[in-house]
Amino acid sequence: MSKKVLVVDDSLVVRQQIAWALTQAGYGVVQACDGQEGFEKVQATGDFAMIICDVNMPGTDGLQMLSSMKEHGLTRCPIVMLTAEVEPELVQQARSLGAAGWMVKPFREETLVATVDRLTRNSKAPV
Amino acid sequence: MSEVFERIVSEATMELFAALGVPVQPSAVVRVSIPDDVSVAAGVIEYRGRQLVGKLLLVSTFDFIASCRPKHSRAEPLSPASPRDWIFVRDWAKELTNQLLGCVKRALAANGISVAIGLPIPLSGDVVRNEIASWNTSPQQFICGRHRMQIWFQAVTASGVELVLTSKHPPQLLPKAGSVTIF
Repeated sequence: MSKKVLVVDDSLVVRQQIAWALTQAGYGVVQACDGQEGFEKVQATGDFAMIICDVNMPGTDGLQMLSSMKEHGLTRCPIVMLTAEVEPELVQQARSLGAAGWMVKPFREETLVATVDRLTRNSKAPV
Repeated sequence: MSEVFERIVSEATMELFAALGVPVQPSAVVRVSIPDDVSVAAGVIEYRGRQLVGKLLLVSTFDFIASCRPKHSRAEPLSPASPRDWIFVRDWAKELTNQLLGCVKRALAANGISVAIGLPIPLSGDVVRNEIASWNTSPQQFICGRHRMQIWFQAVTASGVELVLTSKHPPQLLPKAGSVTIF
């Protein structure tokens, strides 16, 4: 069974872009359209190898999702924020909440896949 | 739009679309009004900082927005006659606006100006025409083959603040588009 990646982004086109790239690379992809749905999927399915999460989203944003995950002890897998933001305070906040990295949009699919490969190298696929 | 902001927006627009594999070039604005038979899509987004507030509006045709979707999606043609296809085009117009303001924000940050970005809003049809009518400034226009795209950028400096753009913070110190920082 392939490693599963959770993709949280309010843009349908971006979610499809990431899902396409990761599926081509052999990953399984689960999508969520905001931080609330993302958090619920993490709570319900604890076996993600990695999470890719937007920052600015309507409703629960990416940092709020990260904060809820930390509060509930759910930051077990690597989480990379994928966003158009470069605000140093936001980057620091994500880091302190347990994020493993920060990627700036627009992104190259090859770079995204290489990042996922690198960060999930030591994780096991679900049985 | 002041010359400085014009340059920042122009460079940001070219940077973004080059990264998407759809290079655009600035051109003189020859037409702002949009014929009724042209399907248009747009995104508008506000920003706010201590020194600067304003908003950005990106307007183009359904066809151009559809043509600059991520590469794997472009193989599937979209039609303005399809309500389903409008969902994709409105979503992408919104995301392009968000990413463009991100590029502008990086250029502003390189000049020591920090702004917070709001949430982008997608627009289409007559709402776009009404939005354009509400702007009293001229847009910058970009072309890509037969396609045109127009960008309006409003920048209002806070009362009593004199804005001086410098290169105090070298841009290379800021994360670039497409870059990854692993903590």
